[in-house]
Amino acid sequence: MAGINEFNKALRAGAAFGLGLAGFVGVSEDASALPSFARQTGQNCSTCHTAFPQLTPFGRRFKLGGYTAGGGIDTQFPPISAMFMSEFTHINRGLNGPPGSNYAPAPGGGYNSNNNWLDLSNQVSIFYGGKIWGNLGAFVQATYAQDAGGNGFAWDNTDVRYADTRQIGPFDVLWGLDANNNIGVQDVWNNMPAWGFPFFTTTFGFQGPSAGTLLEGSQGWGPGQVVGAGGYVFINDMVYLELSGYGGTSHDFQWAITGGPASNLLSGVAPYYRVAVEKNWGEHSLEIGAYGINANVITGGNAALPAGTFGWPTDIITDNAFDLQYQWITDVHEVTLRANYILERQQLTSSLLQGISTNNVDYLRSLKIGAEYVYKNTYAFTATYFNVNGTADMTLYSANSNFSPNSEGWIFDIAYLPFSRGGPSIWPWANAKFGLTYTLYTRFNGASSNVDPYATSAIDNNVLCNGGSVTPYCRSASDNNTLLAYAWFMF
Amino acid sequence: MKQIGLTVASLAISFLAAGPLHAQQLDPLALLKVTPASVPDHNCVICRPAPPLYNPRPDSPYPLALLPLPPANGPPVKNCTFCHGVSAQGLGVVPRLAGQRAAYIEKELGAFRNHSRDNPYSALYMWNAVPNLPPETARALADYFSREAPQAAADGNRALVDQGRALYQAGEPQANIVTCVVCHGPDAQGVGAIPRLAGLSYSYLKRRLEQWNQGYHQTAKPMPQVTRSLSASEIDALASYLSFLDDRAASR
Repeated sequence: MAGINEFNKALRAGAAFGLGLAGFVGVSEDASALPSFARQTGQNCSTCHTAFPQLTPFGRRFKLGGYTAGGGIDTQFPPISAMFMSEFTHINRGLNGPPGSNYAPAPGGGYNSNNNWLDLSNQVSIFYGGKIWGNLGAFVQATYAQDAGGNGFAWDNTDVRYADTRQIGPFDVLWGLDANNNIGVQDVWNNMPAWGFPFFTTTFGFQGPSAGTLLEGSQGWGPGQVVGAGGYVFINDMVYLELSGYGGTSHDFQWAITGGPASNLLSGVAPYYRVAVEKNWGEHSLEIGAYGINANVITGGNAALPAGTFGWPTDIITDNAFDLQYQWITDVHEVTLRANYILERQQLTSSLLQGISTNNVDYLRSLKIGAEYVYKNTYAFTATYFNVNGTADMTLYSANSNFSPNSEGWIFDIAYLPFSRGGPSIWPWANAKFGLTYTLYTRFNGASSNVDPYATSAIDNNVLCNGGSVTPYCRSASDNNTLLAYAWFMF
Repeated sequence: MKQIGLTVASLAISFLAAGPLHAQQLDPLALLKVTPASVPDHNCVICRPAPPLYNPRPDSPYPLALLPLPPANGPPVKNCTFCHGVSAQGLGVVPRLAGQRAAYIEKELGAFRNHSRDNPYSALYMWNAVPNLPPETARALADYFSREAPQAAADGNRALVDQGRALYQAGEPQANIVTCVVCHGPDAQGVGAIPRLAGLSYSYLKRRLEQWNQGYHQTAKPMPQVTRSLSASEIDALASYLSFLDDRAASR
């Protein structure tokens, strides 16, 4: 009986994490610095990464070239790598609010009543990464994680490319065809949220601001719930142009491969564009770019619609983003400055009809500015400021202070990467990253203090919270500050 | 228990998945060691015929045959261009290969192999790029890149071009600076294993000239001696002048 209870407990915990959290923010579990890439090229991780997964100009070209560059050992076996990640999460104040509050223990609240989560096997991934044949290469990840929906291994980030070069008049053109399963996972500048900082978040507690743009995963579309294909050119090692389209996969497919469908459905084909100019001179590299997507979304469509329903109205989500990246990379010092601004327009026709939103049109803006310094590819220090703000909406953000989606804060990260310039002699391609991430919220879901209006309405007394987070009913943004310790192994 | 099980399983899978390496590569350490280029044996009794200039080893047949992919042919240029640039015109700190002398490229690949070219970026990037490079592939790559049309980087300080040109062409006998033109040629095109300098990037030229004085790559005679008398401003001028130099500019 004890065994069954244990099993039930694990099942409940898995369901809570998987549905409650992963669906909430659209957890992005990323990985790179693939040891199979190192075997294939003969290069250390540090050639293509400052501190993985941040890419260098060479790493960007390796990816744009279809993962096919060689120079290392020539094995007949597929380029397989594996990843293993352990995490420890501590939030500033535990999620043990009283019944009726957002932060009450389950089942009354959304979270477990714990704090200090240790998860030794937080994520296990297997990769196929490298050249398949000729000009065809791939990055394919399969992940076993608590947030994979309890379905065992699930299909994770995948990017398959065919890339070649061609001289057209005065232009050196690198061109490629790409198929992938996650919006933005094909991008090579680490500003696109799919590969942007923070490169991963905790699977417990708070994973950043609640409100986010579609490109940041707000629709809950994990890898495989949409698939995309497109083409790109990279002209004179400087001008990058890409056009892709994304479409949703079928329910059956999602149940089989991805651990279940997201609640929001992508209708039709969502066009996606990316333009960027990267100028390299000496030890400097500067990129300025823009990207965006336009998607018709049936909000809540998974629950509301029987399969094949025709004519249901859609929300039209339009993201346009601008980004900037500067790198100064020497053999000792590596500085990366990143800036990313996403402007999202939400035409909420479907949500309004369903009573999910109050406004017909909402806007959301997401800004991230960060700096990373890496010493000898071994010690990495990162500081990033984030600011999400947008239109207040009484229904969409009913749980937020002033019905506002606004959040603001900082993320600091220090990491030690012992093997970026060559791993242990028994397995020289291995890499590892041991780090601490501290996320500091100055504003969370619309306010810096009393961020849980449910708590006050539940006991019908707002006065209780006016003194800040003194009483157990109140919570300030800083109570959500999160310390994440991680050990990340690639081999 | 489940977590420990997962750990063990993932470790096992990754070690298994690395697969059967080639026999000589069973010792991963060997990959990091320097393997000398094969030296022709002049005492052989029955000599094998000389290898062809390049014997492309095409990829093994495409195993899945899902797509009508063209076969890979020619030397594996992509192995170089992901750092040296799509058409090998150089990228950032990485020098241009296009139009470089084939014999020079081959010689330098040897210098990376035996670690005599020990400049920091060489050690960081190129030492790892050559241990598995067969000599015939090195020769084919050198030949390929030498035939690519070079473009001038033109990224130096234009104000220093005249000073640089004077130094390049005449040297400065009082300061014990020899002329460059004697070896590298009037248009800095190089000859044989002497490199083409015309149009290389300013930062690369400057760094190479400086690093001889810092004790790197001392086997590249006579450059360590030649650069000894150059001041920082003279290195600046030379690198600037050469970065603008291409065929048309040089013929002025």
